Amino acid sequence: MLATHVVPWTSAPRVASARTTRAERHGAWKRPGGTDGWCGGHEKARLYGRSVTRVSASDARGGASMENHVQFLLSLTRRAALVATVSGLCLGPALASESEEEASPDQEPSTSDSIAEQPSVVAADSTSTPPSGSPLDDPWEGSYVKPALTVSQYVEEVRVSHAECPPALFARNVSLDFANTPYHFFSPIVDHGEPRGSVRRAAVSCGFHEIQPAG
Amino acid sequence: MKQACFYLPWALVKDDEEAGILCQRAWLLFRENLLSLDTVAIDASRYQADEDDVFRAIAALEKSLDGILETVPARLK
Repeated sequence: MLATHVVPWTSAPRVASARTTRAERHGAWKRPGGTDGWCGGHEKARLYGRSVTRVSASDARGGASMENHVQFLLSLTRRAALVATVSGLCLGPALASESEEEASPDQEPSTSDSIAEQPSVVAADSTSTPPSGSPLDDPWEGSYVKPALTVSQYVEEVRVSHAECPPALFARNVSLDFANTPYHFFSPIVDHGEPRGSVRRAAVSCGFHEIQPAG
Repeated sequence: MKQACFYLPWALVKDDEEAGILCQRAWLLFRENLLSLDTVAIDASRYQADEDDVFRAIAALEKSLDGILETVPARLK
């Protein structure tokens, strides 16, 4: 029974002092997170240092009483609770964000206040998560854009531009000065020197002369 | 037209968020079809694509453009 009391008295200070020495030697506790990835490394070093001090003081008194052992166990429990709290504080937001992503991967914000913040949030997620390959997965990829016109003005601009499109497909890249140019000019749409089918009809409908192939 | 299509979702999202999201998705599809048309046209200039491929790409681009305009609610047009 005595041995079980003695074991934590002899082993715990050695481990604690060794870890404190390693932390002081490498200076890991000075940086947030530490070298071992343990968030709040300075808290860990401080906790170990406190336990070493308390145990050494009680050792100096020379009494390995039951009361001191209970205090040591309580300090261990308190230390474990603190470690769990610090770990929870460090890992909590990350786990919460992961759970939110898993729960609603395509959920969009419902308030208008969150619209302005949405691109920055998406940008942060796009840097932390690997790209999925399809741009349609993240419609707000990129920076925030401030449009100068209203919706109706943009719609009108699209309509006006679209109304010019069908003849412009053939005529825009070639000015009207080339209206007498035979459609053989359009090498991309000519197959073996002879335009076919819809391309031929479209070229003729746009005012280009149809010529008979030589031979 | 491409520039107007690019800015339209951002102008729309201020008034109607859901419509803005749909419009943004339609814009991405439009952009994808535009790049596809570009690629097919280049291939056709090298005799590596048929004219029907080019016209299919044009039809897809037109369809995606109509999709952009359909996402705009009638009250905002």
